[in-house]
Amino acid sequence: MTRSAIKLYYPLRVDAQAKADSIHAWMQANTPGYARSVQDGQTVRWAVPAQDLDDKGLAIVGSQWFVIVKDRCDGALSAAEKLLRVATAPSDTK
Amino acid sequence: MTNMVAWFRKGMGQTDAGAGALSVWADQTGLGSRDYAQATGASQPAIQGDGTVLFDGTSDFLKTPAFTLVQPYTRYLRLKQVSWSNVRYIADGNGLDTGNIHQGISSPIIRAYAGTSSAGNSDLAVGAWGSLAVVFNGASSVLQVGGGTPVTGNFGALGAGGLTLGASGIGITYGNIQVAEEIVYNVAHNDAERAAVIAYLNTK
Repeated sequence: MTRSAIKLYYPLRVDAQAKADSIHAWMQANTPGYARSVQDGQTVRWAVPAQDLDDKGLAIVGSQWFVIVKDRCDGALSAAEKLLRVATAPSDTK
Repeated sequence: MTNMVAWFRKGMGQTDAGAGALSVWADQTGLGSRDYAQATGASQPAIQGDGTVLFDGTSDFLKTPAFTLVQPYTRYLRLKQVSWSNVRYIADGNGLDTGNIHQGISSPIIRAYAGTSSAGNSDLAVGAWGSLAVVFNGASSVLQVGGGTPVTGNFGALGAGGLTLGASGIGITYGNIQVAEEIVYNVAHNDAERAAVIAYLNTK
C-alpha cells in the first residue's frame, strides 16, 4: 500500500489553494473514508500550499507554490494538471 | 515497567481516513490527550497491511498535542529507515529541535539533538527493522540501536513538550521511515531497562 507523492506547482498561492480546496471536495465526494474523517473533524483540509525551502529551511522567495498530490486523489486532477506533474523524490523535498 | 507516558502500537487505535491514510494513531497508555493526529490529508501517512505506518519522506508526519515531557525521558521506536537522506527527521519534540532523532552525516547514521548534536550511530541499516532507544538526559544521554554499543554524551537539556513522528516539530524535513511501535517513558532508562524494552520491541 505504498503511495507516491508529487508536487503540483502554481505561480500564485491563490491558485494552489484553489487546487487544494478542489481536491478536498473531490475526496469527500469520492472516498467514503475521507468524507467520514472530515465529518468526524479528523481531516480538515487536503493540503496547505507551500514553497520549496532553501538549505536553511526558509521558503525560497519568488518560487512557485505547490500542492502535494498523492495517488489516492488522482481523480481530482485534470488531464492538463497530470501533464504538469513534477516528479518528486524524497531527497528533493524538505 | 512504570513511568510510561505514551505508547503507539501497530494495528491498534488507528483511524483510516480513506484508502489507508492514517488520521489518528491513538495512544495506548490511557493517559489521554496525547494521540498522534494529522488533519491534513496530503500529510497523512499510510497504514500498511500489517498495521505498521509508512511515512513517505515528502509530506507525511504525525503530531501529538503539547503535553509535559521534560528531561530525563526515554523514547523507543521500532522502525525501518526506508531510505536515508541527510538531515531528515525521524522524530522530534513538539517544537522544532526540542528533542529530535534524525538522519545525519552519511548513510545509515542516526543522530539525536536536544540542544547539542550527538555523535552518530550507524547500527540500523537502511531497509532493516530495528529497535531504537534514545535517552534524553543532558550530559548522560544515550542513543542505541538494538543490542549495539550505545552512543553516549551530552545531547542538550531541552524538554520535548510533546511528540512529532516522521518530521521536525514544525512539519518539515520529512523522514522516509516505517514505524511499528513507539514507547516513551518520563525517566532515564539504564542499560538493563533499555535491554528489556528493546527485547520486547524486537518481537514486533
